[in-house]
Amino acid sequence: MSKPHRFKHIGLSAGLFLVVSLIWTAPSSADTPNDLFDLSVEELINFQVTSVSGKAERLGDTTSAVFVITQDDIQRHGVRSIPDALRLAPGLSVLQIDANKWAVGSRGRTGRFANKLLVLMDGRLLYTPGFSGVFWDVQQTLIEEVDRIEIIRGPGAVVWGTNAVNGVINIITKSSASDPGGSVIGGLDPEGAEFLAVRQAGQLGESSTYRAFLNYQSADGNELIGGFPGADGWDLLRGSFRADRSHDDAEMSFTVEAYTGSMGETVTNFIPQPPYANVLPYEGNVSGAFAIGSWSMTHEDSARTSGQVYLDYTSRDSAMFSEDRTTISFDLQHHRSFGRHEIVAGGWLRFNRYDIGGSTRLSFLDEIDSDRVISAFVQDEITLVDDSLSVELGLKLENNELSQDDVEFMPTARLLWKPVENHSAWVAVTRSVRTPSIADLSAVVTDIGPALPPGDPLNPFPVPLRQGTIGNLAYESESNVSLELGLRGQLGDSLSYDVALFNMEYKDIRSFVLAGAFCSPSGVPVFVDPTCVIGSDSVISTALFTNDNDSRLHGGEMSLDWMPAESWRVRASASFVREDLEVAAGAFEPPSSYPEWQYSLRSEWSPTENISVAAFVRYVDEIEYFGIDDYWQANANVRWALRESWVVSLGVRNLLDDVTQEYQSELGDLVPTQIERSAFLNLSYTY
Amino acid sequence: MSVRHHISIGLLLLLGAQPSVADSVTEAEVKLALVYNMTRFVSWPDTAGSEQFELCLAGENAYEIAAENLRGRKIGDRDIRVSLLAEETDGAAACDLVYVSHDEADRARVLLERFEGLPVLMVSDAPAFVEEGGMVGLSIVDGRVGMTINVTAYESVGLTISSQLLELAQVIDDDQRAGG
Repeated sequence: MSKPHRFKHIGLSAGLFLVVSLIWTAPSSADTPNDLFDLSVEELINFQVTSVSGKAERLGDTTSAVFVITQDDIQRHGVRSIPDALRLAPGLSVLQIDANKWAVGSRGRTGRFANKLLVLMDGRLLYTPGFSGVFWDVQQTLIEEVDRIEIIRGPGAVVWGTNAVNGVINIITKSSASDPGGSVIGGLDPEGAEFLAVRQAGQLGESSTYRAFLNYQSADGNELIGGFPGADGWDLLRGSFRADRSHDDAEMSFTVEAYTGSMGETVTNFIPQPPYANVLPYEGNVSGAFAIGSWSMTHEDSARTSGQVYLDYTSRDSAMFSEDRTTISFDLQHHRSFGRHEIVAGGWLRFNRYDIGGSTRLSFLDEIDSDRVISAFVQDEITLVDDSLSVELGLKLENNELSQDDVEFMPTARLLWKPVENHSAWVAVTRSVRTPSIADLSAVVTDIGPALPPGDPLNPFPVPLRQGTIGNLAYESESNVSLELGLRGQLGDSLSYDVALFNMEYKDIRSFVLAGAFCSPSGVPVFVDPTCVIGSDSVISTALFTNDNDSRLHGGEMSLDWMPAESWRVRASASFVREDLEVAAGAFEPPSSYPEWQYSLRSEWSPTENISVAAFVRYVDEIEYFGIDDYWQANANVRWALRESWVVSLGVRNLLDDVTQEYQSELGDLVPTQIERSAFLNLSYTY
Repeated sequence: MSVRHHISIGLLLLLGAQPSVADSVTEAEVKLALVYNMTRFVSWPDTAGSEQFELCLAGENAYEIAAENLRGRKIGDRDIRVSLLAEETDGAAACDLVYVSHDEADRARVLLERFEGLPVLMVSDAPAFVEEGGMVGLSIVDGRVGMTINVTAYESVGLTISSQLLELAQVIDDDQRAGG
């Protein structure tokens, strides 16, 4: 990266920081009693308290880098998918690979198989323990049903568990009591995407409510980078039923949901003979179903106990791999205050059963077909000085069958200080762990890229040299100790700021060490019998997964939230992450595969009560690994509520550049696609 | 059907700007701000002649927040007088609104009995307050403060609450419950 480019980043961030400092030093109007008492009832009942620590908490008092995306944000920006909604959050990198695949990451180390970001929907784990990462294509719901998405950048291991190393995304859907009545919602995009949903909600006996929906979505494939049409079109049909019951001090909720569909992809298939690669369309089937029951009760002394049980089945097949998985999970949590202590304790027990399959390029050393996780945590928030100083101590212990350790030990200590009214500072030290996936332990990939033909300077053999990787049954958990520092507060009536800085020290992260070269198809190691090359069709050089790399990631995120008028809100953010990787002797060093700098600017304006105009501009830095240049991109949306029952939403995505490549599958198994400019129209009718 | 849910999210979405989430306030402050603001939608019978609005609180923390933030404010054209309902205080203190904080939940029943039949708006964030005859209950639902309003309880003492407030609350009607 050239120097002027770097200066541009520093300049922009410095500018943002200068704005913060200038307003910081400006005289504050804090001697008015308390602005909160000037809010309307509607504003007060919309005042967001969140669940970062597993209990209700005001965002101003959290000791993590938290951001919340609300249903209001989703509506104003005309967002139709969860990854699209996540783009609105500062500091996350949300990169689309093809029409149905995404790479979502936080604080670096992103990817389609990003293994250190934990994602949940209503307490149900969306993270895939087999391959690590999240298959975003099926992690949808009817977007109108999302109440809010809480995003924690940085570790959330104590409450949320292993793999919550560099972030947690917690998607919370609405109670069925929220929007009684029926609606029909539909939308289309001339590029070839459409959806249609029907939804009905109402009363179910004395003190219960229900809601049900059916949602069909489909999209055509994107164009490939070379200009040919891609095979990444998809469709998904989803049906869901939810019931909620509120009785005395107890609340209960039950949801059943099922989906089925197909996810296409354009696959690069590497072959050992010229031309070494060919391109194939593939249509994979996906389906799944889950049932989740949760219950919570408030005791007389305001203590709360909640529990949850779910059964989740998921099935997918793709050109590279297939998976059938059944998960059953039991979860219990208790929250209680004793004088200056506020304690949350809980635990869960989770069983997974797998049937994992490979392809010509992927196989598994050992058939792992189940795992079990037992987890327990306790967290105590102690008020040291009323309204000014508090400390939070937490510990999670987890036993995971896939880990080499008996117990994963994940402690945290967090301090919150409010030196003056409306401003707070926090500091946190956390150890978190990423447990091995089945792919880490046992996947064998024969071709991670095209073979080197005979005669290539890097190929000493008279036959094609292929490159593969091999999993390691002794693969250990990766650990991380992070130090975070945050400042947030309110400047005057209309401006608030949020700054977080972090330093994350990773130990024992994945490295690739050359394990040897083997003749194919005989499998004889070349160093044992070099003559095996004669008569072989190729030689495969194989890299073994080891835990030999250490790494330090450091950076920060900064955001400003400004309301110049009651009907206009503007938010700006900048984030930066840089990795210093310490590569073990003999291991390969991969270039970074995530954008280091990102900026965003969001504007939401309501010229009248019925109209909202929203715009979102973002900057994404270059991604060295895939040769993707940096770019600016913008979306805009106008939403108009006609009379009482009709809502029209008209928007444009990717306004600034007609085609962008955002990312690429890190397995090299997919032909990169273009993310195109598109317009869309959504209509909703409520009766 | 006894419980009707009137929360109109569509309406809320159109109201525009939300309060900034970065404000560092406590849950108790949000609840008391809500108590103060809901009085705009409540009318008391026979307010003529009384110059003070008597806001009585059970719970020291709640009292301190109210005393600090409501000084100099008015409800309608009446100045607010904030007082702490101490446990030992006997007899009917003159109150227009009584707020029972959840840390004083064990006194809720006694206070409901003491003000029974009087035109006093009884509000609390103690569990099951509304079921026990309270008029407005506050609770945290889906990460926000929610209101439950018992129509029978306030109508029977001659208070009226505007439909604008009822639309934002979960409404319980004892008559309907009795009827089926």
